Amino acid sequence: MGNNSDEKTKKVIDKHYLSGKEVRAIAKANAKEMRRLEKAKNRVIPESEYVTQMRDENNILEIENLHSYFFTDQGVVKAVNGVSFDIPLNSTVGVVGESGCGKSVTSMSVMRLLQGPSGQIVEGSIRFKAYDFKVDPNGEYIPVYVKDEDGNVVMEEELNEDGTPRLLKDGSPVLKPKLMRDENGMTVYEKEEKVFDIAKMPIKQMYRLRGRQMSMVFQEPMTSLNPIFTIGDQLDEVTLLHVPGATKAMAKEHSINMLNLVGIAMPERVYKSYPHELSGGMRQRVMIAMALAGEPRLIIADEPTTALDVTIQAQILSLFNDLKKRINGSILLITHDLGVIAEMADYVVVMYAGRIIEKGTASEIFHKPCHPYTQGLQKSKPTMTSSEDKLFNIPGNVPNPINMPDHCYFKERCGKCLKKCSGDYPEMVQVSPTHFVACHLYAEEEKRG
Amino acid sequence: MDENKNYNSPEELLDANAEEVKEDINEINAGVDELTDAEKPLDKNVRLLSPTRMVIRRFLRSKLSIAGLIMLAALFLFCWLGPIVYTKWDETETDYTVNADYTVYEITAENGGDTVMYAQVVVSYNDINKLAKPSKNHLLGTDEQGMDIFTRLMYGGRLSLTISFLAVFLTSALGIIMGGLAGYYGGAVDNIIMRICDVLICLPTLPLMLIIGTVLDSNEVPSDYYIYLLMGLLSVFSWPGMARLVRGQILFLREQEYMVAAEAMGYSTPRKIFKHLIPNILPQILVSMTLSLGSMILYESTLSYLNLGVRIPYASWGTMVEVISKRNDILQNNFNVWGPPGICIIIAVLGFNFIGDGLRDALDPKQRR
Amino acid sequence: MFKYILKRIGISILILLGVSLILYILLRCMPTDFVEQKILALYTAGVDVSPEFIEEMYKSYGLNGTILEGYFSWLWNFVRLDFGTSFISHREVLSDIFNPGRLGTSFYVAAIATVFEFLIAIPLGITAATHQYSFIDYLVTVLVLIGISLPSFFFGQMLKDLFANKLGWFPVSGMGDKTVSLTGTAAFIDYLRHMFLPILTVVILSIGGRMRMTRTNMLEVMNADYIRTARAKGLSEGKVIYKHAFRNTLIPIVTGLAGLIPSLFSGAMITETVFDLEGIGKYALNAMTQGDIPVIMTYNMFLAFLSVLGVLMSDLMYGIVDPRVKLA
Repeated sequence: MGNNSDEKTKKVIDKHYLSGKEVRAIAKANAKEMRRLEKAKNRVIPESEYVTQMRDENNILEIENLHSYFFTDQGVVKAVNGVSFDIPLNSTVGVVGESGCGKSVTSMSVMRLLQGPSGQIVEGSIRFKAYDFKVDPNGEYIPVYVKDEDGNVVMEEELNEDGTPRLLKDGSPVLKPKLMRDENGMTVYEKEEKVFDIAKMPIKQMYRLRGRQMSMVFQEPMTSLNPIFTIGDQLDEVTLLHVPGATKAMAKEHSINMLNLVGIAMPERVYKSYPHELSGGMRQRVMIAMALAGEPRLIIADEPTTALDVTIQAQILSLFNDLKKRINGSILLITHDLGVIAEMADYVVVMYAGRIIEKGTASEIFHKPCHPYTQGLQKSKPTMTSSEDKLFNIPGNVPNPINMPDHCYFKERCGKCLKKCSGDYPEMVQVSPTHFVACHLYAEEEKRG
Repeated sequence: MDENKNYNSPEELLDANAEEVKEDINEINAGVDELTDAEKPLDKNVRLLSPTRMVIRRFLRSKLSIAGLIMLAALFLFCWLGPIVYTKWDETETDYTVNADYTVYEITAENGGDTVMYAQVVVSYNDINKLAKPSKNHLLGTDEQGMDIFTRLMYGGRLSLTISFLAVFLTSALGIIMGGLAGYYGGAVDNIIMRICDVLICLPTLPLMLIIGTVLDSNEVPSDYYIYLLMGLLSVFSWPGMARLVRGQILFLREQEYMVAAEAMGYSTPRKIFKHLIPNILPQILVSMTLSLGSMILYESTLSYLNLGVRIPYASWGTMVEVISKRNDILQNNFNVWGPPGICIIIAVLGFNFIGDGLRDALDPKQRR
Repeated sequence: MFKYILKRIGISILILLGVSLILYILLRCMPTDFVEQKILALYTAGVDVSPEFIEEMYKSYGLNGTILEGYFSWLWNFVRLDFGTSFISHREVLSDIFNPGRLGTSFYVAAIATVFEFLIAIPLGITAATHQYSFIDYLVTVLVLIGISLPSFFFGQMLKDLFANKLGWFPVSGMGDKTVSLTGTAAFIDYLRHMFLPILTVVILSIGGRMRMTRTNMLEVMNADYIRTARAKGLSEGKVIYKHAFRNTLIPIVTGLAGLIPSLFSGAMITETVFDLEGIGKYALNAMTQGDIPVIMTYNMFLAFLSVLGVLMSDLMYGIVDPRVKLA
């Protein structure tokens, strides 16, 4: 009897496991696809192939139909499956969702930091408006020269090493155009706005964007700093890398300014210490300082407060709020914490199992949630005023993102299923000018209305 | 679910349905086997790799592991089936068939008055067929004692592989017991065992074996089980590596949440050890054993090369190479004498290294592929 | 720090005592008449064996007392740096083993081989790690695993047969050409030519382990979060690998250097024998196969001392190289 039931269990279990044949087929298909995508990452292509135009000039980042997959032995994990949203200039966009819904993968895709060869952007485009140094045909940056009122370039005498003017053979001084310098004495270079399609960029070109145009604050401050370099070394590195002509001394000054900016009390001391000598909150501040050092226009914060305790969380969040005003840029905030979103975000994107199910302004999402999942999320937030003893939870689990079916992924957990829900995946429905939801409930309404 | 019911707000509907949905899901889960793929609820729709298959998959993905398996399988077949199939020569049989003199003596004897003539044939082997080149008669030629190299290669392999396996099992057993004791009991036991480990690790292996060899020599140990004794003693001195591994793993695992949980659940000690500890240490032990099989073969052959291992006329791969340390002419002219056993050693060690390497990668949970 | 070092030295002395006890007991397992035989052999070989010498021999090794008595008498002599007289060469062990020529030969071979080992193995390890699962990773892995799998005697003999006997590029064995007297550069080149094959043997056999170690460490580091941070900063892949990842991998490599102390001075027994180099390894091997107790004890204690020193040094190195480690 016992044997029999054991066999039965085994059969049931076997059904959930792949057979050797299937595994081989998967591995073969994966290898081919991965090789193709890896090759595409490293090829040399002319700039014209990845320079595009923004759909809306007011956006800094436009993600359109992004598909980022992981090619695993068990099959292709569609971690991000057709995600589209925009980040307007000077705004904070929050992405919320349960663990494993693809929100981190989205942010990694924007930075092109997916771990290859298994993690790859397969389709879609990520348009980013960069404000980058102009380069001449030789690949050199073009300095800005001082001009007088008539628009003529001002000339100055070239100096020898000892400070005396250098003279030509006939005794007249050697003249050169005068370079414009900023308040730190740094040469100013010409900049231009350029839109790149990050998804199509060769990985080598990304070095121009990362750190300088967009930077990232990671989830784990404890492990995200290199343990064998001092905080100072790691901060200086960013300045030296992204500010042309920066010297060690300038970099140090800049780094200490940055540490001051993120509210570190003794920047000189922290500058000299090693990461392990700092607390988690301090390290996260350092990470933020590092993200700011290159003066980027977009900061991606991937669960910046998850690993910190609540009081530090609040400090870090208000720091972000201050910074946004300062950098004159935008923040993409990834979190699973609705409280954080409520405090920070102007726009909210709700993700579920690799897809966006609802997006809109923060007040729309918080006051008029449409998707049953968003409603569930709201309800599962503990409140002081609620008379309920039991905390609400959404039944069931997030589906495993391999071999996803065509119908709505939330179907089994949803309390409002329609017959249609077993059919195709619902299209995005516009509820208001800024509010979109992917649910059949509203598709009906739209048709009717 | 009833779609036609009227609810005032989505929340109300959600509330009303929460319990119902849970029940539904339970029902669905119960009946999941009868459903086709498309109808299954999402979290039941996924088919994964079984853990065993995942390990096998990772192991076999590396071409090196497969190469290792093939190499070792070929060697084992050669050594154990070979002598059964190829029986022309024996391990210690000297080939005298060349240059034999056949002398016929006629002997006259008287037998009860009759004179009887006997013819006695005396074969005198005035030479042995030594250092023969490969031929049909001797596939790989003969050594300087006139023994067939091909045959000795098979018998030598048996001995080399057997000894290595025995030594590795003994070393591992000692190491697991000592490391297990140290890790499980901790405190004074741990301290004593670890200090012994420190001392043993400071003893240089090869010199130590040479000393033991000399001691065995001076005590006139018979050559039949000389090598077994020597490798046995080697095991007695080389267990600390395994002991440290096992101890480290146990200390690490004891800190893990699931062991704390097992403790909190009040599981019995044997259950904790056999259900939780051993399955977690086993992979590392397996990898370490596979890799040390290779190094044991190297040790055995080195000792045999230094004349401390298997004694002539018995064959082992190391002993077969040994002749060239004394005979430069053989080194120069008779590759067939010392080349094949050397190559066999390399194949065996390489095979174990390939497999060990592949196993380590396959069993590593941090593996990315 | 100072206290830590003192404590470690104390433990090291205890370990050395343990090692010497084991070695002594092992050697005492030889029947006493074995020593008599040795002395007899010396006598028949024409060495002057005076009764005092025999008496001295027995006394210094306590071979006529109990094991414990003998051990302590040996220990007392050892502490006074009186290592006794070799059975074979009939000379003071101290001057025999620590003969500059002998120790020097072994040291040069080991030191040059170590330099090449690091120069070759570390770049290979990094390349293999950064190109994990690529063709080049497989190729390097196969080659170095073959290196690990080579029995030193077989590989040495093969090199000798090929490059010395067949091709005649290098001398077969020995330390220098004895048929001609060379000076200056010519002598140096001749010396190098004699050392080439032994060094090559040692290098090829040892690259594998070092390369695998580098690869494993590098892989672990490359998966760390701070490497992702470095990439996010906008550093090029080369800088990420050689500045951020490699500097972390360097920690075990540098501390591993201290662990090489024993192998620098112990001599490569088999290789020295194969190529007939007058190094400490060959000398010790001879002593051990012939049961030369004073030499065996001294040589092995020397090795044990070096390995204890190596462990201590590499722990101290950790404290210096890794900012996270505080020795206490």
